[in-house]
Amino acid sequence: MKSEKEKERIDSINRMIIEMASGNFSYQVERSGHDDELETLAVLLNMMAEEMRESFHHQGFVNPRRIYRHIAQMTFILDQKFKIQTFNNLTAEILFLQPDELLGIHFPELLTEDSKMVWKNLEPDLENNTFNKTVHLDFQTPDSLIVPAFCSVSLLFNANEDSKKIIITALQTVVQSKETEAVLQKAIQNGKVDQKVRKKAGKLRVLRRESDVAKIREVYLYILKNLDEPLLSLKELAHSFGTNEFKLKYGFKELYNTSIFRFQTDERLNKASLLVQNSEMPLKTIASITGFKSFPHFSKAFKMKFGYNPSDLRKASRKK
Amino acid sequence: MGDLIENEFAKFWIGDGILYFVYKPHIIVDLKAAEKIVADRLKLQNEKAYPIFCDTRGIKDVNKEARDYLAKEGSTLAIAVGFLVDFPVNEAIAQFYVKTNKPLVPTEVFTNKDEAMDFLKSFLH
Repeated sequence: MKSEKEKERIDSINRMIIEMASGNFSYQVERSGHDDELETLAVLLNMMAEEMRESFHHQGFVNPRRIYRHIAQMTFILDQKFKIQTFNNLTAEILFLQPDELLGIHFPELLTEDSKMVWKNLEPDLENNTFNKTVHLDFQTPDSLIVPAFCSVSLLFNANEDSKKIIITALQTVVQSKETEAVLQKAIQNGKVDQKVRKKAGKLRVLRRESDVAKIREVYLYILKNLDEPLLSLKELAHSFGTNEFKLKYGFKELYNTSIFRFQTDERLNKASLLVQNSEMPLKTIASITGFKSFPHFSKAFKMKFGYNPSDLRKASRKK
Repeated sequence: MGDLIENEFAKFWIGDGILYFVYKPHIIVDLKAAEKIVADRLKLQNEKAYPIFCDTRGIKDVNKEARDYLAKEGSTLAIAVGFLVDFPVNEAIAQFYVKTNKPLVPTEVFTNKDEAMDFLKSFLH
């Protein structure tokens, strides 16, 4: 005998699975306060969606026919009482609502409880004519799936005090099955498509099999775990991971958009930066445990990446 | 023994060669939280690496950015990590993290504190 509440939770889990199966990883199942098996399912699905959203970047492996990924936008225009005056088509689609269900609604009603609080905190600042802020807001949908979105909230300029308007632009990633090349072109022109994906469409794709991708990932992890070791030659590296130089070099670039050497240097510097900022470890020691040949070499690379040298960062961090 | 650091997310201290880490209740870990946690931990450690005992039972949620950060940057100056978790949700989050976000140092999940300590002590020389 299932309670109403349980049925709702199961429904939203089912809904989430269906959305994910069709390539939509932008939703999240709403968390209940419970700590039980249903909640575990919800949490695992949410985390899986987050991971797949990123994987989809690289391969579009969920449905190979869909190689396009674009950034959908919800756009709202609110009056000064925060009622929705108008919005774009995509908004209704994404929120699973009919357009007439959106018109005239008090905007915060679309949000989750937590996000309502976030909105409430914004409201006083919206009196200010130069208001412009980006904030994370979670939108509710009729079947308790959540749409997390990065929202830009601005006051539109208006000389007439009485007719202030607010524009909210929400960004997230959704795969649309009816996408045509024309629509994608338009999105690109508006600068809304990740440049990475567009480039891939025209370039040689070296990684054709799951096993190829797995090997590149192993190399990635190996490098991260062994930052202090000098890098093996591409040939040695390729052979120890059971692939060839060509696949390793171009595959790595395809998956991570950087060369192996550049990646290693970057990660060494990131690790070094963390230690410079948060410890009193001597800079020379940091240089050597992050694998740099010499301190001057380290300092130069550091400055090139971050724009300041390690000792300046250390000084600044001490002041905090 | 040693200092205790406390921030809005957790308390941590070093004892018997192990770094103890206890999350406060109802914590949602986003990237900002993860960065603060790692930064404070490194400050406490003062250049030395430690096996880390991490009581994650207070964690309600941890988003992908935070998971990735903890798996990578969060492995700095960590010899190994043992999580103490609650069944079922908390444990599921930890298992997912270990399997998917692939922390760079040996990381295991325990529902029993003694077992976690045995695991971590095996890294002490």
